[in-house]
Amino acid sequence: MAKNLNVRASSPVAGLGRGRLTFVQVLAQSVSAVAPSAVMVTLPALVIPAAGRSTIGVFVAAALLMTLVGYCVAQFATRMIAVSGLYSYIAKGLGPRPGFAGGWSLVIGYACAAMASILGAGSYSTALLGRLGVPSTTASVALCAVVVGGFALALMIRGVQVSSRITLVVEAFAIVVASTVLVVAFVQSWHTEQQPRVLDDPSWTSSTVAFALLIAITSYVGFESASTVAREARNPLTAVPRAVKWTPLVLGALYAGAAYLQLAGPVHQSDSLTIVLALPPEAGGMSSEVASALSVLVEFGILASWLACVMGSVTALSRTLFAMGREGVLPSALGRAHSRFQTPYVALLVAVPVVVAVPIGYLSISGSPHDVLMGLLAVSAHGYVIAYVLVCIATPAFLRRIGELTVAPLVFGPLAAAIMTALVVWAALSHTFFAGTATAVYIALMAVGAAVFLVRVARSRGRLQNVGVYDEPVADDLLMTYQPWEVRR
Amino acid sequence: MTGAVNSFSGRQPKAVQSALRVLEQVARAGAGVTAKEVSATLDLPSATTYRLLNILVGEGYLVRLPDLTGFALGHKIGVLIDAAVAPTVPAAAREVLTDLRLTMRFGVHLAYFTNAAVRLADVDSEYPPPHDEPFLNKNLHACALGKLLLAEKDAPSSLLSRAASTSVRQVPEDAVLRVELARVRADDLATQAGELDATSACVAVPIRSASGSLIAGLALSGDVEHAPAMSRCVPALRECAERLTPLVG
Repeated sequence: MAKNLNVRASSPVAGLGRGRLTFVQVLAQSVSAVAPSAVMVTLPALVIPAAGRSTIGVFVAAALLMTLVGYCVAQFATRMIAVSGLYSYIAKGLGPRPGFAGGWSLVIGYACAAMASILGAGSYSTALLGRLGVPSTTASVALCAVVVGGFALALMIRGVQVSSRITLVVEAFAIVVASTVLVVAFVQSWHTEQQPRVLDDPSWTSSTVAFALLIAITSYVGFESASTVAREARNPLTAVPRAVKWTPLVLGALYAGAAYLQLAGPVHQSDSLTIVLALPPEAGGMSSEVASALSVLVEFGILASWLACVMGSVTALSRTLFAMGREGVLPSALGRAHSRFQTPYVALLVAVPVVVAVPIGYLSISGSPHDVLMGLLAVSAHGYVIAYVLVCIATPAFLRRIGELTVAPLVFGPLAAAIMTALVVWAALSHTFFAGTATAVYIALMAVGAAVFLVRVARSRGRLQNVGVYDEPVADDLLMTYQPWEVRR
Repeated sequence: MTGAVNSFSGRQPKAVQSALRVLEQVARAGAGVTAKEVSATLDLPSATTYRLLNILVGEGYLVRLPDLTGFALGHKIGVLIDAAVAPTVPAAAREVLTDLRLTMRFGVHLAYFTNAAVRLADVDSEYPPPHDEPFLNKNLHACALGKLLLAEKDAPSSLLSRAASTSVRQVPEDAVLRVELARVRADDLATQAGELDATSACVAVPIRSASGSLIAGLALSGDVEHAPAMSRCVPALRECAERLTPLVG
């Protein structure tokens, strides 16, 4: 053959399992990393004061914007079987340095989301234990967080099939509970025939729109994480793009429904994290037993949602660290896969203790689970949004490089990037977006990443070329040495 | 999602034709051809070509090469090749088989293996095999040649259909099947007695290429009552298989 095809004998990400996950499990990876049922009962309450009757519209607009991002992600996902999702995509589109910036940003996003979920799971299990008389102290929250972390770690090392199957069940339970409770609360408030809540539309300023939209966007982040399990999925080149395109739409429908139900009936947002949804008995004419039964159910549902989010976020985090380890950009031990379970066990063993320890430490200083949760989620949102902007810019660049650029990605990629950038700048300049600390923490963490990257690359220039590893086709996937009369494994 | 698949009624012949033309063009141009080149050669709109190429890659008929720009034929094409090739037995190998047949009162059959099927290459005309090739391939778990094939596989159950013929032994549980196939691998020998039907028995030994992969099998078939006598013929069978190895490999 005249052309040099540069086909390796074995995949650069060999060691991770292959073809393990069904489409539904891939979809569950994306959905669980978003923790939609926790969002359903909390975020509309945050957005409603800012957006009033337009809340549904805001969630729909955010869904459309995320669908644009999903479209860009899908352009890569149909062409590469990634293990590190957006990290390898950005690297292939914009080169190794922006690639690492995007990848590290996503590492921050996944890690902080996982930390927040660990804390959420710890708080809700403590709240449930509290009903049995166990005191709800910082120590008990910490203990529960450690148990949740250990449980998730064991499952994820054991195998991606086991962990994703459990994630799927837990997430489905969480969504059903959240939907049921919202519908019950809605119907109850309807029956009392009280006046529907009169929403005084907030005075529309450009910054409130931007703020509401940004908050709504943060309720979709994580949807791209199916791209981190591509190697482990069956038919990854069709399953992953489909999951990434569908997740924002499915979530958009759930959120719009949740927002609608909460627009009509007041759902009180208490400052304490442990009772996100306090159902006031007098509001719905509900007996206090019904209300408290609903509260228990909600607590179970949200606990499930946080648990699934721990698994989803840490799965995505560990795969991204695994890829960085394989490339040598981070210590190569992170790129080791378990020989029997075929999971990135070193990356998991490194990531999970950090993900458990940071929120506990933060909580012991701050004392308010609510503040810690919000702080972590704000840092995490920075990580995601920056990575999204980069991947949208990378899309036309990547397609141009491989000679497959068409009009649609050339329009949609920069459009999505421009809208997101505009929203961030808009909200930041108008001072309604109080996230100064989170921004500072994010910038500091990015600086740490940049320092590590520069040191590692300076030690060995070859590492720069390795950035963006994915599951390449190997000689056996091609028919170059094909023998019809032969049985293969 | 599934709705779109179900509503497909074959009324988009243009799309199917274009996809097949794209596939053919990649085959003609050879590994490394780019999407632009395919689009230009076929005079198809570029967006259409890229979409079709991505679908064909997603389905495994093509692969995208590591440079991400080039394409080559994928593993699914292997399925088509396997179905199209016909086994041919060299004259020298046929003589070896004739020699063995003269010493045996059992049917002596040579079969080749593709990646997923048994293909009868040279069957005994005097003592014909008890079943034809399609029947054997439908019941790989119950015939000696089929067991040789299954024993090579990491996921043998992927080749088995649960709806096997009624007169045939049921497909065993996964664990049972694994033990049985491990035994086949350890002995380098597969047998069946009364599994394919009530009256027949078979033994089969593998023929391997220089690299050790299974390429063919040599089988004896006879009456189930003569199964012990057939196992006494295994050394002669192995010796013949050894003589055949350089001829069919």
